[in-house]
Parts: sequence; C-alpha cells; structure tokens
Amino acid sequence: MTGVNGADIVVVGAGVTGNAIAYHLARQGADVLVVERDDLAAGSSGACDGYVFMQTKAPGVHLNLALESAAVYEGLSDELGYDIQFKRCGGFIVIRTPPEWEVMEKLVERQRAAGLPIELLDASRVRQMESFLDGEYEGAAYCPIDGKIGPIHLALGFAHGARRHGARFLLHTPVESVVLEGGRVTGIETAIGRIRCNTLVVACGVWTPLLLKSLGLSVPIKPRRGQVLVTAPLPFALNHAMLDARYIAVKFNPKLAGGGDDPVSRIGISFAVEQTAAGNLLIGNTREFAGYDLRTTLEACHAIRQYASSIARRLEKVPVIRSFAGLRPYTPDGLPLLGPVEGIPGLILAAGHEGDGIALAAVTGRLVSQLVLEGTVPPLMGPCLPRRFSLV
Amino acid sequence: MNRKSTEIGDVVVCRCEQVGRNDILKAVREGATTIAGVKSRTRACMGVCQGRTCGPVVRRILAQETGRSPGEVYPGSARPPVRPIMLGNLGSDGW
Repeated sequence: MTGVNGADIVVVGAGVTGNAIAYHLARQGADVLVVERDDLAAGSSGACDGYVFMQTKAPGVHLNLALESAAVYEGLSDELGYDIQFKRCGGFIVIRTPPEWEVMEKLVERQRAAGLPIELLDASRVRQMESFLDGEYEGAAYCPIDGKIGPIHLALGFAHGARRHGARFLLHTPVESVVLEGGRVTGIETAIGRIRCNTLVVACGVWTPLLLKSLGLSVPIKPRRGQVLVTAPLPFALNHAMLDARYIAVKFNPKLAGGGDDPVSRIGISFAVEQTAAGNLLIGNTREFAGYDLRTTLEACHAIRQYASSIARRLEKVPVIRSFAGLRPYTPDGLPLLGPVEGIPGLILAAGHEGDGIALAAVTGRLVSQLVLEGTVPPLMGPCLPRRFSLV
Repeated sequence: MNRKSTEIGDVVVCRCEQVGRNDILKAVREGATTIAGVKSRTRACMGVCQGRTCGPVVRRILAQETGRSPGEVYPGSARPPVRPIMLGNLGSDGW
C-alpha cells in the first residue's frame, strides 16, 4: 500500500504528538505517511510553553510517563540531528498562601515517596536561588530535574528525524473523513482524494473530536485556551522554569479555579514564567473554555500582568512585544487518550494531553509505535486507553 | 538543521532576529508556505518589530518561490500589543 495514494500507517496531525509517533514508527522501518491540514506545528504545538516539569505530575502513571519522556530528551538532539533546546534547568512551583502550602506539602510527600527529588523551600531560600522571584509568596517546591524545551523545535525535530528514516509528510491537506469498509478503517478522504491505509493514528489534539464526529464518535476532548505574553529578548537570564500552585489546581480541576466572577477565577489565571533559548520571556497564563477562539483578550493580558507581577515584581519593567493563545486539549481526568478505539479495528487515538503534549511527546511516540507494530498494549498505556470513556 | 546560517553575501531580511534570505528560502524548501510557517522555522517576524519591517519582504519571497502573488500569501495573525509596551503599563490605560 505504498505510493502517493496510500501507506501502511497514516498519522493525522503534524504537531508534536503526530511527528513523535511518525518518528518512532519510521525508525523501526514502518511505512508512514503524516497528513496535516496546515503546516508542521501549526496548531497547539506552535502556541504553547516548553515546560518539561516532573513535579506537576501526580505520582503513578502520569509521573512515570514524564520521567521516561525527559530521559529521552536528554539525548534527542543528537539522535534527531536537530537542536530541540532541552535543558534540565530545575523548576519552582511558587506557593502563595497557607492553604496552598498544606496541599503542596501532601503532594510533595507523595512525590518524594515515589522517588522524585523535590523539596519545599521558604521564601527567603527561594529568593536566594532565583532573584527574579522578588514578590510576595510563602515559598516554593523545587525540583532540580524539571526542565524546558523548545516546543516548536521539538515538533520540527521529530519531523526532521521521521523524514530521515523515510516517513512522508503531506502538508496543507485537510482530512475530511475516515473511510470504513466492513467496519474497519481502510483509509481517509482528503481534499486531494482518498488515501488508503491499514492503520490510522489520529493525533489532532483539540481537533480530534471534529474529525471523528463523522464516525458517530464523541471524543471527550475540549479545547481550553491558554493566553501567554511574550517579551523582547532580555539582557538577564532566568535560572529556572517556574509555575505556581494555582497552575496545578487549575489544570487538573477546573472547579478549583474558583467559581468567582473575578477574572482570576473565571479565566483560570495562574503563574507561569519561562525564558526561551532566544532570551524572550513567556509569561502566562490562562485556562479558559472558549471554544476554538484563538484571539487574545485585553482582560486576560491585564489579569496575567497583575497576577504574575505580584510574584515577580521585576516583570513590571519588561517590554511585552506580543500575546498569543493556544488551545490545550482538555480531558476529564487529565490523562491523554492513547490506544485503539474499541469496535473500529485500525483506528488508534493519540490525543488529549492538556498542557503535557510537549513533555509527554517522546513517551507517547514510543508507546503508540509499540502498539501499532507489536499489536499489544504497553503497560504504561493501560490507564490512558480510550475505553475508560464512553465514545458513543 | 535549525541553526542560523546568515552568511557573508546573504541579505539580511529580518534585522530583529538576524535572519537571511537563504534561511527563508530553506524554510520554503522545507514546506513553509505561509508567514507563520517561515516564523516557526526561522524566527523571522518574531522579533521586537513583529514583522512590521520584514513581513512584506518575507511575503514577497514566499510568493515568488511558490508561484503566487503576494496577495495570495496569508499575512499571518497580528496580535496585541501593536508596539512594545512595558508590562507594568499594560491595561492601565488601555493598550
């Protein structure tokens, strides 16, 4: 089934997840074609931050996925022949209030029991380690193996590596529907005609439910907008990646964002500051259910400013050059949907990573390629199987 | 490779991010057909001026290389702020 009009495996979506899967498949000699309606990294992978945090993951499957991915990133630039800008810079989760401290204390205890190097530091110790954090807070959780990566570089790098191993990419080609014959997937219908395949991997992030609606499937992934401010490259270096405890609360439990009508509660403001390899700061962010609307809003930008500069006063003086918004694929339990769709042989999902698509791309690629090529569900994939939700 | 290759003899297109014409041509060869595609591959239009200076040039190169008129090349999404603003001033008096 090779040639222009077919491939053994078709991956829909050339974001970081689809490209990572294509890379792992191609590296093992599989015949892979990636079909993308726009360009490489044109969706969420090109509109996000580059956190590779360990301490934001709950001990258990989520943390294990992240640990494996980060270990892969250590050597991935050399492996791909492409600089993915990965750095284990260490990460802070700033704790602003005594109630947050209590919650974080319990989480840190569980993480430490699971073997994660992590400690709680009081505010003066945090300021010693990161002078940038010069505002008001109680302290922070610090994990030296948290890191950051260039998200676009990672997505382009996986595509580069996949091509080197023979994967093909069909960009600017929207997929219109999935073709079933005798109940199993035999191809896709695209703007340039039918493309046949034996296995179809759908890695379209927030757009996954739209594609699979044509099969009568209801995939529980919802777009959640995150707005971020970008500064000009700064003359000083930030030593760490940093979030705050509200980020964890808001990400995993929208209700914890608070039911209030103030902007902080309503649009899910939390603190997230990171410096890119080029020197720009990314200052965020929000978590809003606003459909597929990618616009940024003055309300959110203003709320981000107020919230972030209460923790890092120096931010008041940085020059902002742009705002952007990306859509995070939210799922009800915070875990992605990875694995076969029951009842439709040949159809595999790999979507719904919320804010973890970048951090978990490497392990997602490994797990999905293993499933496709060996036909068995790898142990780490178990809790991520789509069958935990009713898709009809 | 994703390293900058602004060489002697190349023409600088994006001054803010030091991106040369050869970098843009390479991005087009790698599949970029839009301003956003060039941005993500080269950082052109991502600097302090946000493409106000280099945007039209990038657009013209894209048009030439892909056989379209500049008007057929999607200009990319402009996002606030219109010009750099100190974060501390953001929202205090509108943008």
